Amino acid sequence: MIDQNHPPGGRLTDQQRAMMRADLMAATQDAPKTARRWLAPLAIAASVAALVGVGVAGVALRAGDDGRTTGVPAAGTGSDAPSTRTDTPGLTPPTRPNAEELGRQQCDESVIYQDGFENAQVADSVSYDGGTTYLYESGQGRWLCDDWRTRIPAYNYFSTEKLKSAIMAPVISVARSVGDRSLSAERFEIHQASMPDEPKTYAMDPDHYDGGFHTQLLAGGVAPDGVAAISYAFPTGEVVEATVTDTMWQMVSVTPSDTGYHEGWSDPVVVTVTKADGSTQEFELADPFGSCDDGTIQEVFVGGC
Amino acid sequence: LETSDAELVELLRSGSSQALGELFDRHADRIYTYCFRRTTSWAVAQDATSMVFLEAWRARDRAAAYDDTGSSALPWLYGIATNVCRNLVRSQRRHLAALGRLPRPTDGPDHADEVGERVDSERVMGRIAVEMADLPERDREVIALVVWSGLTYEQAAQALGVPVGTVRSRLARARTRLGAAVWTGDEG
Repeated sequence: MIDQNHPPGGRLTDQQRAMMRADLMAATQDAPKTARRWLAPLAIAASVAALVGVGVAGVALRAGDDGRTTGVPAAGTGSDAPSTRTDTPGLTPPTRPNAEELGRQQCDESVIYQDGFENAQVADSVSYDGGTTYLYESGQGRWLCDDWRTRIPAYNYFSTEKLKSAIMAPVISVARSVGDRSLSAERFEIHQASMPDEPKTYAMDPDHYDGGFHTQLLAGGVAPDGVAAISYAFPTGEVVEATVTDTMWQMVSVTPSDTGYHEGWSDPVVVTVTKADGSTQEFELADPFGSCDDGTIQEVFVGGC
Repeated sequence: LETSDAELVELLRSGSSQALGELFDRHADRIYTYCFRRTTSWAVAQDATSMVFLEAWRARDRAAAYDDTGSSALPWLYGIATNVCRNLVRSQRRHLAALGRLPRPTDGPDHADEVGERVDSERVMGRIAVEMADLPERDREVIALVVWSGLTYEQAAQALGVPVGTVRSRLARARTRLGAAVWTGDEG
């Protein structure tokens, strides 16, 4: 029989307590009192050693064709990531990476946790208003990681290294065609992530949101051979032109949504590929989003269902 | 003369991070233990504790110290912890598959005995969590606050934002159901 009255308890060690208190003080001492509440977490994010990172979106794939790389530093080496601590905590304000640096750091640290991606390198990236999509390469394959969620202050403000390493690994193997240079409907599959416009209010209720949602639709991968342009026509009427570089392509759309996800579209998403010779090819995505067994939307994390 | 929780809460509401630090010094261990009992993981509990006090800072305009037992900020902090841990438990479930694939983070210079104790206590707490799994989440929260953390019914009601009668009824229901579940488990 369990003993309800004496479940295990414990105390923080002096080291844990000192570290947590220092982080807490660093995170709160210079928070502007007049700032909007939901902006404060961004400041906190930079000073606390890590982030929850519940939402770096990405896509995994197995090794495909040739792997061209650029001179971008190896993922996870930390060589280009500013330290969040100083040698004299409490005396000197810590160096705080900006949102872009934090996003890159999140993606780096996410990718290297994946089997076979320990030494992955960024082959290319596409930046847009609100985030950056990175294409990573390793000998085992390629991985697409997008840092849009990390740019949202509400989701970007706490946790220590342990939690980061535990739940931060973002991604998924929802699309295995990222490294495929051929043309098929599968490789144009869309991944979606959703964020409330306002932070969760834990002091009231963890499910409570004051505002609406924004939903990101993301697709991308290695640049297909001989393709000059890719466009997505959504049932809403929105048409989004993908960015196509020599190395990768990426389509991103961030729009407000009531439910937090796009679901139940009755019409297909139509992808139009324009080749270098001017010819076009259309692909209809009748079921553009992954879903779980129970029919709910598969989120773009590791273990999305 | 030691500053009371009520005074610290007033300072916190005016934007004093030092007051938050003092509240952390006073109450972090209890929040840490509470979060461990809710999440069954010391590592997650440590992070949850940090989250609770950061959330307390964010929500400092609503900070409160209750007077029924000497102006303690604990009910307010337990209320935040309840929501933080509830969300973390959900996240734990969601990310279970991912957790299994990731390298276990190191805990620093723990000694073997301490590691053993932590593992043992996590095992015990995990077993308790399994046996309580059939209870509604809100009933488990009442047990964690009243039975394990020693809050009065009134404090638990303040922490959860529900009437005192609701706390009483949830606790009574939980005890009844838990007793039956445990008896069945022993029999099996």
